Amino acid sequence: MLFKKLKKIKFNSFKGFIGSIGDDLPSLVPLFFALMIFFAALAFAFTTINNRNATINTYIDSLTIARSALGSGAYYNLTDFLNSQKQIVTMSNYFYGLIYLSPSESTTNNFEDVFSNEELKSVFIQECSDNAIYLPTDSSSGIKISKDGVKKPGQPCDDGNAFFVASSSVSEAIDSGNLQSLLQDIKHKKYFYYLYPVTLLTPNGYLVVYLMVMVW
Amino acid sequence: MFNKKGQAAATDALIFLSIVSVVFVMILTYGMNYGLNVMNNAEKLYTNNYHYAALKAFMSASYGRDANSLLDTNLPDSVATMIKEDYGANTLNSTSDKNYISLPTKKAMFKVLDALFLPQTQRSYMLLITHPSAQNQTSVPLIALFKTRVKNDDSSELKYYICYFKDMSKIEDYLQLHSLGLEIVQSPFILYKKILSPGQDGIQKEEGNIFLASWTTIPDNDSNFPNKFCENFTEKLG
Repeated sequence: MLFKKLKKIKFNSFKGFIGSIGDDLPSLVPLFFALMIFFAALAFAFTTINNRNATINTYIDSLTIARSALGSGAYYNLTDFLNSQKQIVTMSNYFYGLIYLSPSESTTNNFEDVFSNEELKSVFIQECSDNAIYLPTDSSSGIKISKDGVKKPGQPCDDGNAFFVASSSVSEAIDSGNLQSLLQDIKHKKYFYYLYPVTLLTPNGYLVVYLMVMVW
Repeated sequence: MFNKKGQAAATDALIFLSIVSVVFVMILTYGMNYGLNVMNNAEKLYTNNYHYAALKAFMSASYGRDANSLLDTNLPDSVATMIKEDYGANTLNSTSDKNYISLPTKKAMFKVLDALFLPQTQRSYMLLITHPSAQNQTSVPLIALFKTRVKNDDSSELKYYICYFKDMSKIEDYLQLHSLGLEIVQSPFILYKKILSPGQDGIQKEEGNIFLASWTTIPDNDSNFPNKFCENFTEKLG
């Protein structure tokens, strides 16, 4: 009687037994998937947060750079404009400069319009040695304001300097003529592009121009 | 009884999977939304900085006294100075608020404002200058310049208005109706007026304010600018 009972128990306990792991296989599959999903979610979250943090840092950096560049919002001359760079301490790449938007022409809202020029510096307003101001416009020729009056069309300054500032790495790329590689670099990164209205003192008075800031 | 242990383990694993799925969705949502508020606030900060820059530029910008652009005039002067001079010269003689600021100055104000909002093609703007009222020294509108789109039959048209409201309530009501992307900045604007009363001849300083507001354009009804207070300035700008 007892033997029969033991035999029955033994028989039942080994019914469907595959092995110590094999027996838990049905529960291991969802466990494995759950862990995979969990770690994938963590990896995704960390990557997203890291990228977003980098973007936010550049964003805040870009606003700080723009604010430093803005200064009082009115520039007396090129030296006054260039002095704004002294306030900027950043690891981000940037350039900013003064451009003129003619009310009668299409506005430059896209940085690619700026890069469509072979010579980046030619996009920005120039100050000539005789304190005349040259305003490049969308059309082939610009406007020159000097003590003698306003010339439309006017010729760019032979010995002028552009109202233009760039971080050291960007300056190097521009000086070495690597504008296209710079453009590719910007396109592949998150960049911030701003336009702010400012005034620039010309021989004719304070003219409304735009401070163009690009940070990436 | 022994077989049921295996089923329980599988059920536990499925419950664990469902919990992990919920956690996955939560982490995913958190990851996707992380920093969006900061980005939105940073964008608002840019808009705010833009308006302060525009107001500063308006205060220092020059224009022709003959209502020609700075590049076409032989009589350049600061627009802010032109406003103050007009106000100082006309408050003594003028019988109406409409004549406080001269026509060339009004044109110059609109042209400079247009230049300041060139890249913001989707926005309408308002420039408001206030001054203390003669009676109780509370701030009342001196002049308000609007640029907005006004509904036509099936399209909209860009229009410029100058309004001379008696109090601020009409402007507040208007801005409440145009709160989409609304940004307002302000700055003190000192005005001077001549006074000719016994024993008080001279110049009186008045502490006014200048407000610059802009909002995402929604075509208005023409009735938002009542003829009693506003004039359509579009044609005068040329």
